[in-house]
Amino acid sequence: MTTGSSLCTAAAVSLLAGLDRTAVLQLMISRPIVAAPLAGWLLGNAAIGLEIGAFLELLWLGRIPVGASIPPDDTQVAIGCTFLAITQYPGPPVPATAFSILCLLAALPFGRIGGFFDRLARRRNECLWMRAQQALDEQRYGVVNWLHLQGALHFGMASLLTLGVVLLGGFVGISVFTPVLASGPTDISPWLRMAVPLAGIAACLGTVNFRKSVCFYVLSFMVVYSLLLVSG
Amino acid sequence: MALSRKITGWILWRVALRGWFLQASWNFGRMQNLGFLFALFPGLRVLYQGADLQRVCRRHLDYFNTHPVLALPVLGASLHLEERISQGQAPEMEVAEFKSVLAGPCAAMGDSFFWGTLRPLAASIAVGLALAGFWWSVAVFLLLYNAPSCGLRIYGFWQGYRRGYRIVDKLHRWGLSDLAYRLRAILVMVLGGVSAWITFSGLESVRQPGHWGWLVVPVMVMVGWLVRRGLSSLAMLTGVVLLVWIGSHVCASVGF
Repeated sequence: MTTGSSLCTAAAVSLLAGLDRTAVLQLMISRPIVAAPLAGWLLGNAAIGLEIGAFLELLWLGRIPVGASIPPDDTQVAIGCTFLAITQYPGPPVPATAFSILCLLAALPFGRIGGFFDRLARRRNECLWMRAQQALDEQRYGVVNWLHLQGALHFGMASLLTLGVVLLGGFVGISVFTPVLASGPTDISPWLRMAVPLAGIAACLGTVNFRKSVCFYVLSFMVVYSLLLVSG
Repeated sequence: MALSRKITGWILWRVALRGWFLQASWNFGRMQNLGFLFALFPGLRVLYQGADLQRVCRRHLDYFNTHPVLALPVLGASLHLEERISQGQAPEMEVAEFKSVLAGPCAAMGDSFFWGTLRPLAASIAVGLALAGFWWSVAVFLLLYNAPSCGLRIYGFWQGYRRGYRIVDKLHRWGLSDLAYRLRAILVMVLGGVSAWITFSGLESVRQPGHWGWLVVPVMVMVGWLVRRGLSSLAMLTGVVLLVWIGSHVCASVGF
């Protein structure tokens, strides 16, 4: 169930991970494999967070922030999706993993909105260095430092706004599709648990810049799969 | 003429730590310019006073953009050069030229090594462990990425400060581009291994014979190719989920 405290928890994780994404440290707390379990743990179900993080991690990993390009905000999608999967789960007969994946599908399109807010923050930052120039003319060096840190506030705001959009869009998506999921003939969770991470790996494989990637991939798959089949 | 060191260890630490906040004011116009000045400022304040400090600070507000990890060696080397300039041992334009020459190659090396190789490698190992239910996969990911990244930031900054210009030799000797290429081979093999394990355990959980798993290889190669040709991840994931959904309905209706 959504409560004020659960929303505040999600917002706090969103802010922390959102700042780590671009503005400060970049210790990779912002990656879905970290942010989702962290959000899940604080919301009371780390296992769901870990599962969502693992599903989402590889999907957009190849979209790297080169120069001025901004990839979709998988950080806020991971946190928003974990929040929805934990607080909105209606219980049986809706299968838990299938519901988590439904949340993922409902939240994913809004990751691109994150790029919009990120761009907005970077545009707002444009005026900071101009104001810093004025401050330098007046030899107010403390102001220059403060102006730089103010940029982090813009990135923080962008993260919170993205999370808000992901949650709102996600709510609408899951309220439409949850009844469809509940009416399914069989539990598709085991199939999804296999297919979704494989889709992520395929996305990652498609973006690896390595000439012999297909040969190495196929060889490695065949060796490991043969060993698994032989060992039973 | 020997360089008399004015920068203390404490100042060096302050500059290095501020280097981790380099991108806080990232903007489209001049990118990391204000961040670079913010990081370097404790050092500049020791080296210059009054109008000189003002002039030097303005100079550092020029365009600058590089990879956040490899920005630290550039930062260290710039501090070294500023120290030389403040003692009249180098022309003033040296730092600006040095920064603009080094920023591009460092960005290319950093993007390729850290974003394009190390992060996917750490992530694919962590995802494999996470899907097996190991909660400590998160710690493995953070350790695999941050140990080299944080180490290189601190070591690179120190080397940059000690060597100045000669940091270029050091960066060349690290051979990050070659290392990235070799690590990408390992990354692809890890992806293959993790795929095999997911397929095997997945088929076991739905009680299907193991030989179906071989079909995964051509499908993965084809989907990977489609992604390379521009298929969006969202469209692919939606397609996969829809296929599973429709497949389950078809199987249920024919009593499979």
